[in-house]
Amino acid sequence: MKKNFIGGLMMLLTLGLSLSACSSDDGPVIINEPVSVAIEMPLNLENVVVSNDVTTLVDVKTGEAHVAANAIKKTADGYVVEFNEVAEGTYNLTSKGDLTFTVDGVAGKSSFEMTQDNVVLSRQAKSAKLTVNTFAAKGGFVISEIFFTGTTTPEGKQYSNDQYITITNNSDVTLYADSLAFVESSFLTVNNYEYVPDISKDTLAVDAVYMIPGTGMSVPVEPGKSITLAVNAINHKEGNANSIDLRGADFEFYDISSNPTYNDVDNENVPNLDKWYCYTATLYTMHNRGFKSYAIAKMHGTKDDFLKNNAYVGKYVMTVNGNAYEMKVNNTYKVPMKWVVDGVNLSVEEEWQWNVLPANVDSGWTFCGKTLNDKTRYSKAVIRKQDADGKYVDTNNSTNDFTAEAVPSLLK
Amino acid sequence: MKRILPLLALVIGAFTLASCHQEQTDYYTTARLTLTVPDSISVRQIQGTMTLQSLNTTLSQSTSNITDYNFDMQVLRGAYKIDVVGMIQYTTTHGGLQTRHYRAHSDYTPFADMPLSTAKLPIILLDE
Amino acid sequence: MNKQILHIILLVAAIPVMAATPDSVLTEHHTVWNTVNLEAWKNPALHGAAFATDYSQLAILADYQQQSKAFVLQKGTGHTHYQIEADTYLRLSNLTAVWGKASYMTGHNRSIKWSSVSDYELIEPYILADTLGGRTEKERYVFEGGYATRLGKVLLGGEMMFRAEHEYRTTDPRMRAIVSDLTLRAGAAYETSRYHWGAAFEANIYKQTDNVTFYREEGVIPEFQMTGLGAVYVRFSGEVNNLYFNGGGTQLYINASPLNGNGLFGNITLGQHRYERIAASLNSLPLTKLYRHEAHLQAGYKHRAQHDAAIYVDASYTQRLGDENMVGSSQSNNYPILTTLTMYKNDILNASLNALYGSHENTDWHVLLKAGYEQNTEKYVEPERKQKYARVYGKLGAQLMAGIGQQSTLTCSLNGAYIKHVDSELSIPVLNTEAAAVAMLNHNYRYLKADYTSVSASVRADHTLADSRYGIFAELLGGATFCSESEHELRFTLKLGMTF
Repeated sequence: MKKNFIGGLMMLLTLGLSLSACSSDDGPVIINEPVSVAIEMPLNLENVVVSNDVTTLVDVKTGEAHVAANAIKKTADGYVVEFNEVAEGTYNLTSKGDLTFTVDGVAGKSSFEMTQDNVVLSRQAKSAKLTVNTFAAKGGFVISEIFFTGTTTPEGKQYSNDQYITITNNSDVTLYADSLAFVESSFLTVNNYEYVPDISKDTLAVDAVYMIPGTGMSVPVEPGKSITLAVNAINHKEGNANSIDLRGADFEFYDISSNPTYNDVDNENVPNLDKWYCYTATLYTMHNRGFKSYAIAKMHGTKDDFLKNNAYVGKYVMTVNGNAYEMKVNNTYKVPMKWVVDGVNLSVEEEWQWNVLPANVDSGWTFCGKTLNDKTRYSKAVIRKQDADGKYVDTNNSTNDFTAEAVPSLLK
Repeated sequence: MKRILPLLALVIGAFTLASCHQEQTDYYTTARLTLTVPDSISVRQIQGTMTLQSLNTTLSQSTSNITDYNFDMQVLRGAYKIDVVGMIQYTTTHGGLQTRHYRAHSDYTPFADMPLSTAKLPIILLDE
Repeated sequence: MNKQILHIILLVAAIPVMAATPDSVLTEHHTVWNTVNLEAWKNPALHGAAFATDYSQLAILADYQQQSKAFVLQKGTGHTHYQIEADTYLRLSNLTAVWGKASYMTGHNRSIKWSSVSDYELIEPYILADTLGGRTEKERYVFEGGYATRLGKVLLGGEMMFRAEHEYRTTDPRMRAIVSDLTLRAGAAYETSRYHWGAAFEANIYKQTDNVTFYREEGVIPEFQMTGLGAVYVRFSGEVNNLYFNGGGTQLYINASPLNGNGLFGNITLGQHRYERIAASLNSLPLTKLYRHEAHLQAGYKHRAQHDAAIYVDASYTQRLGDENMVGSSQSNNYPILTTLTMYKNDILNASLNALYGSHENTDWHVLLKAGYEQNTEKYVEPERKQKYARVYGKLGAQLMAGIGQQSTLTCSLNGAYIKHVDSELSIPVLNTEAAAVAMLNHNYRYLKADYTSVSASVRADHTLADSRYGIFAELLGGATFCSESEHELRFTLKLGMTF
């Protein structure tokens, strides 16, 4: 009786002990196949090249990290980085690095950093996907200022050589200004002729194309920074006390004049724009009453192919004193609207007839001067407004986006 | 002794049955978030990352796997804050192709139904 | 240290030489042999048959404990308590007995950290905690009373135990905990030719209210709602500083006790208790509920004749489960509960083999030996956390009660214990846990997996006043525990009182 009782008790005890000890704790289980992390690139980027990448898996329990440096490979399924000998568990996944890409034809570069916390990896779930999403390659280059009126000399004569245009990188990534061209519209905003053929839907008729030279990544412009294209990058104050010192410009318009008395000054310290075409045989200046529209466009192909293939052959009807005259369009080339990155319509209130640029580039217009020959227009510029975080406002409507008749920012 | 033993077993059994607490072990559910896209656009491609942050523990979990506007993720049942960021490529009514960023957000969404818990969020297209 | 132990042993060994028979009332009530019967006496019906003599004691005592570093941060580094207590057992007749106890304790606990509640061991891990903590002042009232009688072959008994505690802090963070704990027990036993077969039922109602306030506005720190192994219910942590715990439970006792004290004996205890943590300021939103199921078995053989011998096993299994309420969005301060999940699990197993041998013929002396195994496993579901430790322990003790002259009795006891770590594991998602909580878990874990050597000794002298039933006594207790982490604990108790 005694023996049975105690025997029974001991059995119960052993049973209890073994039951509670039964929950066996396995050591960490290594996933026998490599863990693959897919890096998905943003939809609007093309020709993406990844460099200096570091992808890390940090075990949430131990803090132990698996680090893969320069390991993102481009495969048929996209960009993938693999990890070997990863134990089952919960991980914080981080990937960072640099990207070069083209967006809407314009080359850019940016860095990326994405994190996903608490990713569970196991033999059944051995892949993860990170989407590069957080930066905005939107915005791109915008025309931030056009100083087209020129100044006046102390004697009261008009002085147009100090004109300039400023282009700003309004995005969050470094963009390259190579092959970005300053173009001037052939047609005026104050003469709405009917042009045949009508190419205005998807083509801009230009009479001047001056391109920023480069091999693709020669002219980096960081987010928020600007480049200034000056008609003449000299210190105009020397000749005209009311003018501007433009020696600090990034590029200058240089023309070889056919007229020996009018020669362009070449500041050797400031690179010249690559002149693809200009209607004038002498020196170029912007229309200082502001009757033309200006745009920046990303040129494709060579200058020779452009000049050979893109001439605008057409006619328009001009009505004078009741008589209609058919006129041939001269000195005009076609720039596909797809190449246009940003544009601004300029006009005067008294004379405005139409917007040369289509509505999705600029549905409004801006001005320095209200009347046909407004004497008060000089030493004024149109400047794009900035919002609270320093970004330029770009609703594709210069009536709203620009401050008209502003003090030129380089005029001191 | 013989008579008492079965009575003993009955008493103990009754006591344990009456007091035994039912363990609630239905911990996880599949949370499915469906993005609703405005009718005016015809989507070509969509990509995005959904992050769920538990309102109770503040821990986050994310997924970038989107199929047919749905994100699926296995989560601990409870209440979550949802944030979705991504890009969408679509053709407009005028026929042009556009790529834009979008986001979706919810301060509070319960995922407690089992085995599948669904929620819908409209996407907000961001200005470019 | 070793020299002093040697001296005490020699002193104790010398006593039988000069000893006379100790006071029989004292031996009946204070002999260490009673530990064999303590489980059975939880049944009030059997408690009524425990003693043949009356005994009452009134005492004041001072108790001091200090650890060089807190072994468990939540329990602090030590305490100083002063208590006045009255204890009585009265045999009203052959059939009826009453007993009672009342005490008042006041004192303070030192360096309590990560616990802004009282009764930490009862309700953990579902407590309110902060990183600062500090010293707490404490007061406790205890009232107990029981009555047992016998009707033919049936013994009946009833018992009530009430404890009220008030713990508070006088510096920021000013915690205040008020506990009220009421237990009622009713028991019966049936007498056969050789055994008392007993069963008792116990009901408990428990309530604790806690709040933490800060007087200095710049010094406000968050109060965390702990949910297990460093996990925090972040959503309701920070400023929800008013909590209350509602709880209670029932317990069933089954006893088999040999009539004359000789023979096989067994006691089974089954209990279930639950404690719910409710946020008072959130419209009484229940946050968590802790369930505790216990099963305890004590069985063995005892024999009291010329020599006393007992051998028995003592095994207990406790399962604690914690339910967390996943709370939805509040509308006008009304929080819906989306679902309840059992996020915390704790299994505690403790089994030991005990042996007691001695004699009560002249001097009352006994030696006891205990060897046991303890295992504690804690798990939290998501994100996964785990802590477990297992250890074996052994205890050797001796007690001697000898008469000095006709009027005095000397009681000496000496104990040594050794706890050895067998296995342990701590696995927590460090990156998903507050750094301070990780440090807290690592600190406590270091002491959970350490080895301990413990010694304690006590000496009590009773003197009966001439020709009366009154006596006076003085008792001194001292002990030290040494931890393999190079830390130690010291304990002293001084007790003075009278017996009658």
